Amino acid sequence: MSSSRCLRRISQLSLDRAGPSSIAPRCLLTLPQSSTFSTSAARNANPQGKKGSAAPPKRGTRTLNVKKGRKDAGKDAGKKPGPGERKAMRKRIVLSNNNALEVSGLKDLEKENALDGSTEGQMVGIHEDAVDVLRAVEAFKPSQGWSLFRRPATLMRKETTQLAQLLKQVEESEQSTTIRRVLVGEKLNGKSTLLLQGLMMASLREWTVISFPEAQELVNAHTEYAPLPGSNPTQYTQDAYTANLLSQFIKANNKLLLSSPLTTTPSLPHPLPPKPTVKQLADLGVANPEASWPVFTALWTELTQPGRPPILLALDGLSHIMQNSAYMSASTTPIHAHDLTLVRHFIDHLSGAKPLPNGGAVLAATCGSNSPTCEALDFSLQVAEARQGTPDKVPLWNQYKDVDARVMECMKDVEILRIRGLSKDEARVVMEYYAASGMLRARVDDGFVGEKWTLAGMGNIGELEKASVRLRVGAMGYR
Amino acid sequence: MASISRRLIYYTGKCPPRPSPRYAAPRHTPQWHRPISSTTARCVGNDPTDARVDEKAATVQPVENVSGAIPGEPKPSEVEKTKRPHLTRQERREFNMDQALRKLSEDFNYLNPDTVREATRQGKLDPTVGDEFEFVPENAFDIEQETGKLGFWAEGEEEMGPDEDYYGDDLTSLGHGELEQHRELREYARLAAWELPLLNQLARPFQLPTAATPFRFRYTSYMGEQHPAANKVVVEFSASDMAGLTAVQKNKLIKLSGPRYNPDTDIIKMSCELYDTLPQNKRFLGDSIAALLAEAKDGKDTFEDVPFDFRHHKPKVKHAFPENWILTEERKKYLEAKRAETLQLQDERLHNDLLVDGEKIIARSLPFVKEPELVAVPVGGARRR
Repeated sequence: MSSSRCLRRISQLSLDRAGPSSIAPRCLLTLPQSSTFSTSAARNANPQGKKGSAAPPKRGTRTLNVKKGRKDAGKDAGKKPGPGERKAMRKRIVLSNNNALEVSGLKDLEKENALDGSTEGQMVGIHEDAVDVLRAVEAFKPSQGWSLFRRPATLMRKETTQLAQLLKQVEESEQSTTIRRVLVGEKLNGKSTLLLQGLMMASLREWTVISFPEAQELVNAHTEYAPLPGSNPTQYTQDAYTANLLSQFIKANNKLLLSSPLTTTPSLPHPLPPKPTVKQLADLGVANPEASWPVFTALWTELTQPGRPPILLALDGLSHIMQNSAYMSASTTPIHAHDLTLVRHFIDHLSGAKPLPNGGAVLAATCGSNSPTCEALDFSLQVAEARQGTPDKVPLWNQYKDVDARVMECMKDVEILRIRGLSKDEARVVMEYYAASGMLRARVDDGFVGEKWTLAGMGNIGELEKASVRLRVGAMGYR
Repeated sequence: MASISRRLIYYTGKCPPRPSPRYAAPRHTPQWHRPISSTTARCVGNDPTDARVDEKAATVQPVENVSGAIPGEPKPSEVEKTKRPHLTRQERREFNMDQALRKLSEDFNYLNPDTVREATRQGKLDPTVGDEFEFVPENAFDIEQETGKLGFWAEGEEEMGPDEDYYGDDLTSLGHGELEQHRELREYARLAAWELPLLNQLARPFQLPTAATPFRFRYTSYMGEQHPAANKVVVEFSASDMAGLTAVQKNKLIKLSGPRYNPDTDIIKMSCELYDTLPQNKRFLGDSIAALLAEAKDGKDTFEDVPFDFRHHKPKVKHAFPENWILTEERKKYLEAKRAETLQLQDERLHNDLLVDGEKIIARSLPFVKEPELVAVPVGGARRR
């Protein structure tokens, strides 16, 4: 017992002589509080008071309140990311890994050997200029494994050679030839990469390259739209998107084309400088988004003039533009994607309604992971495949099902390019590249290649990368 | 009629009750002990100092065993001494001895199992056993049937006479049902064994239907039982078998048939159980087919603009084993050769140092780092604090 308390006891004793005085000095336990004239002792003994019995804190006093969900609680939680910062992080393209080893003997794909098929079954590096072009047209996707290696390189697989043959055919033919292909295949089988390879080869061969990297962005109503005056049925332009496309066009295409003077005199809402070049025309659209659609049409007219290079039109995520878009018309009915001018432009060329006068290729890739169901498209692709493989067994559309007639119409005679799994030799080449980059700590022999090839679902390249480079459970366990 | 169970009860009652093992006499009677005594227990006949005679023992066994003789051994007594006073001591002794021997022989004879068996065979040993096997006439167990009684409905009514006796000896109705079922099964077994083979005489050879008979009717017999579907008639015919139909008319017939048409087999199947009798239903089917054919042949509307509707039919997918997966001898050889070739190629790569090894590449390209020296640390030293 502390000395102060002893003193208090003594003081109380002096106050209360009627209490049990005989035991008081010796008792260490708390005594029943005898009544005194002062209540301060009892109150001081329990200054905080019992829970609930105490009076609420006075107005204006500071109390400690650490409950969650208060407005002030997250005040100093750190800096929030700025607007668009998260999306930029999500969409960031990393094309280099300084920790990966430089692969000796990796040759770049050049203009000369781009289409001749001599590099079939080899890994080739992507030239820096081509990398710039592909970056400009957003051909690299964040989900692809470019960030794992020292510099971008790609496998010239069998399908790439097929595509190269087609492009070569366009270049060599006397009259203008338009190649129209839909790239189909299993999920993670390299459809977008094949599209990228097509863009790369076309860029190397100094073609004009126009690409819609994500069809979803065309139709998900994230960009502004306006009805096109004088169109019947009403079509809708997307000015901001078109302006962006024009700026991509300027970045992606070669200087010679851009610096060439216009051969036509387009009538535009904004005046052009005297002796305008192609770049100046495109710049006009970038600077004035409201005039971007007329500028685009004028540019297209200019590009299809005789003597201009062939054009490669590419689009990724085809099924997004084969249904109603998220845009609404004035009567609040959904606008079909084909009523958007840019989509219409692409579809016209894909379906062959408008050929490319100087030749070229129209490539559309389906998407395995992000694609809305479109029965008409699926059926059209089935029919196209049957037409190429077994023409006597072309499936028939179930007449009692609703059909998107516009989709059926535009996909009527399109051809497909099916992408299958890698062969074991191709898989071996890729895995040797992984090992040479220091990303695969294993001896690449037949057994290992066969194991990974099988694990990857018979050479699905995305799964192969997952199985050998991204997932290294066994290898980590040994170290 | 006396049932089996009743007879069993009767016989059980007639049999002499066997004593329950609980009440059977014990092998030896326990001796009575005085509650508190320091002296040893004594009883009559057992104590050499006691002069009294055990009366029970004396009546059961006419042999004196008081005078120190061995118990159980026959001994001439004073009774015979009093009977034949004229005999000399020597003669008396011989006579006694003779009698004792005879008694012993009889006793032994009585214990001989052969004698016992013979006596049992002749029925002399236990005369009570023989009564049980006397012939009992069959009608001795018959219970008189009281005819003209109301049975259950008259129970407890005095003016209706005495109540009917129930002896608790009949089978339950479930048991009767089982028996009935068994009888029925046996009846059908007899039929199958004896009468079904005779049906063979009625067999006729199968003849393919001709083009004149394109309709196949099906009637269902439920073997004389009442059944709601007994009057049902089903007809099947192929749309291609209908004579005199052009392709357009045939297509119209198929379209008119709707879900009754099976596109896999090209067969239209219709049924009718609208009417009470079989011929009426069949007549209705015939009329329907006639109407369908007439409509199909009517060229006013050919239904060419209507697509076939086969949504009702789901084609059955049959997966066959792929032919090129079959391991034939040639394929085995091919695979062997391919494996050998692969092995050889790998061997060549290995010896020409063309095989890419990720571990080696990393080891070669990493900067040289000295291995840290291993320092001995006492075991468990790090754990203590």
